[in-house]
Amino acid sequence: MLNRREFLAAVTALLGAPALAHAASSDALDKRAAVTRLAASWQAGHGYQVGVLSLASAEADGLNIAAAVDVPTRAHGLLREPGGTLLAVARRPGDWLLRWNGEGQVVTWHWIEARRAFAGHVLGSADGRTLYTTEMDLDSGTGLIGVRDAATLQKRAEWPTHGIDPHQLMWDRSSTETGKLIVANGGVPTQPETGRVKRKLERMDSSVVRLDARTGELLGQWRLDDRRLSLRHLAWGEAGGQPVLGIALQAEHDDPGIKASAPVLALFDGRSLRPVPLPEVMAGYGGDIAALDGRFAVSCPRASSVAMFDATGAWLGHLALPEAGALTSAADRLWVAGRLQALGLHGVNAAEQVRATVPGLRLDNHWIALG
Amino acid sequence: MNIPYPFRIAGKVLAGAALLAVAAAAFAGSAAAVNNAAAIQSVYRHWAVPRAAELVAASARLRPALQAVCEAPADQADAALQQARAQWLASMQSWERLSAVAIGPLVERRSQRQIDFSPTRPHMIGKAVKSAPASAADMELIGTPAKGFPALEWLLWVKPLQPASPECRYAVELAAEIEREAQALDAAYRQAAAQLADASSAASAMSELVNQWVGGIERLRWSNLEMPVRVAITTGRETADYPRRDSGASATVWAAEWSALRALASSPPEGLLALESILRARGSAGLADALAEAVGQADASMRGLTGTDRDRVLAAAEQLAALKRLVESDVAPALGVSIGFSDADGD
Repeated sequence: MLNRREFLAAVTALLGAPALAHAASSDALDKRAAVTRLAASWQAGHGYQVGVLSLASAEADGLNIAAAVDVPTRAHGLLREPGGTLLAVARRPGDWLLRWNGEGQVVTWHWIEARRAFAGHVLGSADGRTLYTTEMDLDSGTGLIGVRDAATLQKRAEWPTHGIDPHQLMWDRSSTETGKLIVANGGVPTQPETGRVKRKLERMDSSVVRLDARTGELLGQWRLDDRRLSLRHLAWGEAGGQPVLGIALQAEHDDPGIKASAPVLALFDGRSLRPVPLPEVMAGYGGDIAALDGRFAVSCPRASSVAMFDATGAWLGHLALPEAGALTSAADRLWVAGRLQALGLHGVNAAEQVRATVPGLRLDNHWIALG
Repeated sequence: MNIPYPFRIAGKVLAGAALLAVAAAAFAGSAAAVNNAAAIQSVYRHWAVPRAAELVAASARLRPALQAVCEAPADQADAALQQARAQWLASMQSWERLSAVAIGPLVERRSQRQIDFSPTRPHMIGKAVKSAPASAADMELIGTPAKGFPALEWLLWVKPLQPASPECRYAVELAAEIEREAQALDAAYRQAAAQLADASSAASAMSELVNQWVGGIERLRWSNLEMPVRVAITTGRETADYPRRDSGASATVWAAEWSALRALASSPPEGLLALESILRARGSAGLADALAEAVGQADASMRGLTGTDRDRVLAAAEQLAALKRLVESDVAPALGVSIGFSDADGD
């Protein structure tokens, strides 16, 4: 594993030497013996799709669409299920949950009931029997967890998230005790009848909550001092052998200057929550987050960058990538999608970088590696 | 001073002479003069205010029509019911035209939630009827799922009103509440139209207009047309759950919403600066042509649309989606409005 200085040197090389990066990319082509497959969602010329992208051969420079399913509205979160099927959930406020397979065949469409909306993410239980979806009560705006039978996708129960605008959820890894959920309440007030219009931001109330995954009982709730920071996307990393949760932030300050320089990362160690100061302007928006080798990467599409931190929050630098968005880590590689290119970072070594074109698609905020 | 939305944003209001000067310049058609303030002013004056006035007029006829049902002798009950249904349809149509692109006061007042909460909840209507509300204050104690156009639709078609019944008296109160909301919207839009935004608040209002236009076409395309068909297909239902299905007015809803979207995009009534006009005035003739063509194609697909032909419904939804993409990807940036796929508005 590289130390911090080596990591910074590698990032600096990426930033300052496109030719080097290109050469490294060429070298890397020979190392693509194994097919890389990524489940993603995107906008193509004729509409929205979810599907599988692959980097199929050493000769190929671009991601290929290996499978695709048309979806009626923009998708957001993705989940690979134990049996190999995939789930995609509609972007908030969403109506549908789709199960499909890696060959692009629809297995099940599931439609949410009246006066509820999906909020963008889904999580599966370890035994594969239960799904948890973040949802909104369209009457009250209350955040909900939908507890669903994984076989039928039907709802078994609803639990409050003790906030509004719930977004991503994950299993709690901050203690050895299992069976707890961590849920990010984005806290941004919207008017359901107008879709996504934000209203009365002075009433923002973002938090992370810990819930008992058997009962929904609230076990803890944490907020940042700055109430205009929305906690949204989650990734577990590790610092000093201890799990630490990285949370990508979306700033909603009225003052453009404050918003632009706002933090894009917060850290939660299971007991306390804190924002991570930024030495550079990242335009106040972290779109996705992934962890790899004790480090966090936060995509910042409005700054066309990927911000890099170590797991304690120390700033490591940034990687330039136009409209950097979806992030995922798999084995020893971090994949990041941009407007025209996707990068595969093997650890942090520029020489092992993969740079692939994105074939006429606008990739959405998230993707997941399938191997 | 109570400054109406959208001109509240910067807290500044220009009055009288400045207003006239800018408006006059806007309608002189010079590219530079068609700024956001002039464009928004025209939308409020020549679209929102007339539509709100239509709603006031239509809803003012609804309450007496319902009252007539309540007072009708048995042999005239059916005729009175038909008349009340006709007035409900007229009011609903006016409402759909006004709310298809929800801007300013309609958003601020949360009018859609107040008088168009869907789906209605029959068991809550039953409770509300038993509580026998008799005033505006009484109505405030009743939840929105038992009020508005959907509740009235249920009372007029699903469980048709009987003369001299508690349900009939409740329906009159529902109509009165719709009329009050219409009057409040009318006043708010008139106030907004009489004032002029500064550059900053005008930019916000333009952003709201374009984003809500996109939201409106998505509501028509997805919620009201395509989703009911998709749900029916994937769940094996014979009947698609189109909007206002109980009254058989789905096609009326589609036509009313589309007429508003079309007018604001490309086929405006006199005085209104549609998106196409603004593009032309700002020198984007090619994009204006493309917008006009896309609106024309969507218009052709919407003409005479009925719910019985699912293929036609899906084809119309596809045309609307293409139009939406054009506005999102090309028109909005040309107007300096951010919508942004890769997430200008976050997620």
